[in-house]
Amino acid sequence: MEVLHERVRLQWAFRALVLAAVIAGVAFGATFVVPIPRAVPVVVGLFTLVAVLGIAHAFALYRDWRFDLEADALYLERGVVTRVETAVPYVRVQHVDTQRNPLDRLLGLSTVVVYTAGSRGADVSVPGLTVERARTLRNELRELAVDAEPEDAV
Amino acid sequence: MRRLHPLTAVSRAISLGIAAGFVATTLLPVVVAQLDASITLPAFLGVVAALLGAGYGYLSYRRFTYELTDETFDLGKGVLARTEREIPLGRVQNVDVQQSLFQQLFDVAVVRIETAGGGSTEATLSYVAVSEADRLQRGIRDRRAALAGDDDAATAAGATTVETGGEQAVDAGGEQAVDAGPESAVDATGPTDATATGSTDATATDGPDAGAPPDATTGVDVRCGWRSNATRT
Repeated sequence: MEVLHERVRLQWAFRALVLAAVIAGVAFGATFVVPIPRAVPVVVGLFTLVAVLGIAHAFALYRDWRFDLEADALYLERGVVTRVETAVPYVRVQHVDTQRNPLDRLLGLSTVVVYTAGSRGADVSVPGLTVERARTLRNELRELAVDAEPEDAV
Repeated sequence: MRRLHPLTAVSRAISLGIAAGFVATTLLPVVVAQLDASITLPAFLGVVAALLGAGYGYLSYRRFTYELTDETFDLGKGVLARTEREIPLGRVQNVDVQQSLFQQLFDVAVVRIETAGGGSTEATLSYVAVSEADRLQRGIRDRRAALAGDDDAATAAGATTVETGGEQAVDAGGEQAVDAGPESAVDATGPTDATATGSTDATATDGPDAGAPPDATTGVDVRCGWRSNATRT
């Protein structure tokens, strides 16, 4: 079982901060429509609450994330509140991406995305890998997918 | 690593430049009017935006690379967010080559490579030269046939033959619907061909390439002569 790179916590924490800022912004805007007493402290409190929860979730999620290349499937375990275990048979792998958004590139991270047949919008991704590991993982998955040529292809 | 046709750079730079310039000159005046600034500012911003858009269009061309290897089709794209994709050729369902009237004038084409995964086309090459589109389509078909040849030698004959027949039938149907030209008749013979040659191939165990029929055991379009008919006028 392999774990993600530690820096992915920074990425998730940053995402939590952005979410907290958006929620606080909307709440602040709402106080102009529906005036409440002590609006500013309430909004700041809301921001802090969401941010703290989000960052705690980021750290917990990092601790829970595991993945492994098994004999016939890519196996993933993750989830803090709801635990999800996924096995993707190599036979069902259609193609493999590595993706790096600007934040990934800032942190030197990369995400491997595995596309399977028929899971529209629910494609499996492994975030928080080093650039080098993402590349090797993509190549390993590609090799395994090519070798597992389906007899009953989709 | 290959790049798209240079015309792509020109086309993207122009269209993105115009789009960015248009947005800057029509939306910004609304903002600027509030600031009570002079009329030269939006014009200046429009030019800057157009140049930025054109630069982005050019970069998106520069940073799009692809390569057809023996086992996969590889793709790299994206200026700010990067994606690098590997599509095993065994998973390719369909290779589509399209030429609009405008593209015919410049002898370029759009190639789309699809697998069964995801919601959209897995690889869109817009644009490549017609000769390159031809090379890709044939290359993928030949390599797939070689891979399928391997499989046939290794696995039972019956299942494979039925399966390829089915794939072919789906493809042929799609072709007919889209093109509805003289080639639909050619395509319609696909399933029969596939079944016949597929079963022959299954008994041939003399190597990956030798017994592999070019058309039969693939999900790739069987449009050998796509250039000579259909959209060409």
